[in-house]
Amino acid sequence: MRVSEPGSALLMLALVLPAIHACHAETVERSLPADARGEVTIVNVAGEVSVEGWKQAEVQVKADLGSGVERLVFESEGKATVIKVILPKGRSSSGSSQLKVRIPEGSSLNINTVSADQKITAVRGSQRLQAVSGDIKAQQWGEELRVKTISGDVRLEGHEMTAVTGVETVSGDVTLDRLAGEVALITVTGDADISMRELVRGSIRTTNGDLRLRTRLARDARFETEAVNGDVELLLSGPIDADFDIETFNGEIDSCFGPKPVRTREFAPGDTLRFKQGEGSAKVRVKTLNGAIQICND
Amino acid sequence: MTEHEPDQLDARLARLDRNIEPVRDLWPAIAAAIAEPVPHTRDAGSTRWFSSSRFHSGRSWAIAASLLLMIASSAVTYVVTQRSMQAEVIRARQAVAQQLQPVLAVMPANFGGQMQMDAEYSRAHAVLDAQFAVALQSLPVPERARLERSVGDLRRAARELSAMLAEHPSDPLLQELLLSTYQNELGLLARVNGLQSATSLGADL
Amino acid sequence: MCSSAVLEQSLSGSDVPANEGMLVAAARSGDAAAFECLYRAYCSRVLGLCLRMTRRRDIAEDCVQQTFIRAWRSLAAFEGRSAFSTWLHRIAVNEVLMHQRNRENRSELDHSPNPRSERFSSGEAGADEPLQYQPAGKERDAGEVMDLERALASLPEGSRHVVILQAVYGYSHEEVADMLGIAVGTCKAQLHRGRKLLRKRLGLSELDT
Repeated sequence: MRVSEPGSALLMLALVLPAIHACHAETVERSLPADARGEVTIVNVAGEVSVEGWKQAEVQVKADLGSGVERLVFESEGKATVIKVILPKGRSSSGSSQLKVRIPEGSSLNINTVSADQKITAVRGSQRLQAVSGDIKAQQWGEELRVKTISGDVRLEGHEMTAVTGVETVSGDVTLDRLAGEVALITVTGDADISMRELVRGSIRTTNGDLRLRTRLARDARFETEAVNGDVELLLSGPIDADFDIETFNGEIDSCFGPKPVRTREFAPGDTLRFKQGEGSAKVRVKTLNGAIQICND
Repeated sequence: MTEHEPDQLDARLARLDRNIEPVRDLWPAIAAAIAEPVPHTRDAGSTRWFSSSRFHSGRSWAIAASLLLMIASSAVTYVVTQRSMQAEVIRARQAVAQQLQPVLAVMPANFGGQMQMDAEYSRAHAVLDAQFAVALQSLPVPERARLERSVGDLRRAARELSAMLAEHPSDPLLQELLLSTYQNELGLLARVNGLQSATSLGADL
Repeated sequence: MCSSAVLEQSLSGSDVPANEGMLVAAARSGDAAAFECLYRAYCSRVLGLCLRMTRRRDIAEDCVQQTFIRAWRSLAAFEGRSAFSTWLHRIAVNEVLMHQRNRENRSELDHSPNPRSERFSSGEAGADEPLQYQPAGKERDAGEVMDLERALASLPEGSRHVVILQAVYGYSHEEVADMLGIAVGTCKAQLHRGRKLLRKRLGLSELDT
C-alpha cells in the first residue's frame, strides 16, 4: 500500500500489527514509503532504539518486541511517520523492545524513551532526542540537535558544520566532539568534554563536575559558563580576540596569557581575572564557586 | 574534579596513625551519662544544616534586597515553569541581572540577612515538587535513585551557596550562582515532569 | 570479655574487635559492659578523628564523650549496613560540626581572632600552635609525621575536614560529602585545595610520587 501524495490529508495509511498477548515476544520487520525530508517520531519505553539515515525514501523498522508489549504502532500521514511501542495501561516497564530503524537521511527525527539507549547515525535533519535514562549517541550534521535526558551519558559527534546543539541532562557525562556554531549545555552532575572547530555562541551551566572546552572563538563570539563545584579548563586555538571576565569564589585561576589574577575578597580565597586580549570582540565569562579555572592556548 | 594518581603526599597521609590515645580515661563520664534516664535527643548521625542569618544594621537595605529578590524569583518562576527552553532562560537571566544591577551597585558592603524567595516561587516550587514526586514513582528504581541523588546534589549546592551568601551578602557572584541554581532546580523538576508525560507507560501519545 | 576482645584485636592488628557483632547485640539490649568494650576498642580512633578536625584536645574529648553517649542512645538505629566504626565516625563528625556551629553562634573566641578568617584564610592560623597530641611513629619518622600533622592542622577548616576524612581515614567522596553535608563536587574541590596547600607547606612538588 502506498502513502497518498503529500497534501491529501484525507487518506491515512495505517499499518498496525495484531495485538500481541503478554508473554509472547515477537520480531517484526516492516517498511513504509516516506518523504525524503519528512518527520519521523519514535517512542519506546524500554530497550534500545537505533536509527540510521539512508538514501531510500522509505522508513524501515526491525523490532524485537518483548513480552508484555501490547502492540507496535507504525503509521504515516503526510510527511510524518510514527513508530510507537505500546505497553498495556498500568503495566510497569517490563516490555523491553529493541528497535532498529532506517529513515531517509534528510528526515527530522524525534525520539522519546524512558529506559533505553539511543544510537543515531547519518541522520542529517534536525533531531530532538529525549530520554529518562539510557545513553544517547548521535551525530551532528549541520542541523539543530537537541538532547534532553535525565540519567545517562551523552555523546555527540559532529562534522565541524556550523549548527545549534543543545543538551540538557541531570546525571551523566557529556562529550561533544567536533561541533561548530552554537552550543548550550545544562547539567547537574557529570563531567563535560567539548571540542569545537569554532564557537559562535555558548552557554554552559553545571553544578557538580568538571568542564573542558577546546575551541576557537569566532569574532564577536559570546561564551558564558557557570559551575558550582568543578574545575573549568578552556583551551583556545587561533588568534584570541576576546574580553575575559573570569571569577572563582573558592579556587584559583591559572591563565597562560593576560595579566595575573587578583584576590578581590578579604575573607574568601577566590581569584578574579578581567582583561582584554586583542580588540576584545568576543566575550568570555566564566564563574565558579568551588573550583579552579584554567585558560590556555591550544 | 580530576583524580590524582597516588603520590608521596597521599602515601604519607594514609600512613598517619588513625588512633590517638586519650591521656585520661573518658569512660567514667560516659558511663555516668548512659546510666541516667534518656533525655530527648536528636537522631544520631543526622546532618543538621547550618544556615547563618546575621542581621546587620541597614534594615531598609534588607527590605530593598528582599523586594528585588522577589522580582528576580518571579521572573525565574514564570520563565522556567512556562517553558524550559534555553533561550528563554537566558533572556530571563539577563532581565534579572538588569533589575538587580542598579541596587547592587549602591548596596553597602556589609548588607546581611537571609534572603527568602517570594511566595510565588515557593508555590511554583511546591507544585513542581509534588508532580516530581509522582513522576519519580513511575521510574525504574535505579533511575529513581540517580535522580534523587542529583536533585539532592543540586539542593545541597543551593544550601551551600545560601550559607556563603549569608556571610557575603553583597557578593554578586554568589547571588548569580544561587539564582542560577534555583533556576536549574525548577528546570529539572519541570523537565522530569514533562518527559514523564511524553512517555508515560501504557499511554498513547 | 572486654579485655580479651581488645587484646585479641590488638594482637591481630585488626581494626575490628573479634566479637564485635556480639558486643553490639549485647549493648543494644542494655549491656553497658559490652558497650564499654566497644568504647575501649574505638575511642582512640574516634579521638584521632575529632582531634584532627577540631585541633583542640578539650573539645575533641568532649566530642568523643558525646559521640559514645549518642551512640548508646541510638544503638537501635544501627542496622549493620555499614561498619560500626563508620557509624561511630558519622556521629563524631556530626558532634564536631555541631560544636563548631554552636561556637560560631555564641561568637566564642578560638585560636584565631576571627572565626571567619579561620574559615577563609590561607590557613596560617594554627600553623605555629603546638600540636595537642603526640603523633605515633618510629623515631626516624617522627619529624616527618610531626611536619605533616602540623601542616594538616594549618589547613582551612573545610579542606582540613575533607582531607582528614578522605585521605587519612579512607572514606570515599560520597561518604565524606554525606558526613559533612556538602556536595560531592565541593568535597572534591576542598580535597584538591587541601592537597595543594599541603604540598606547598611540605615543600613537595606537584609531580612527587
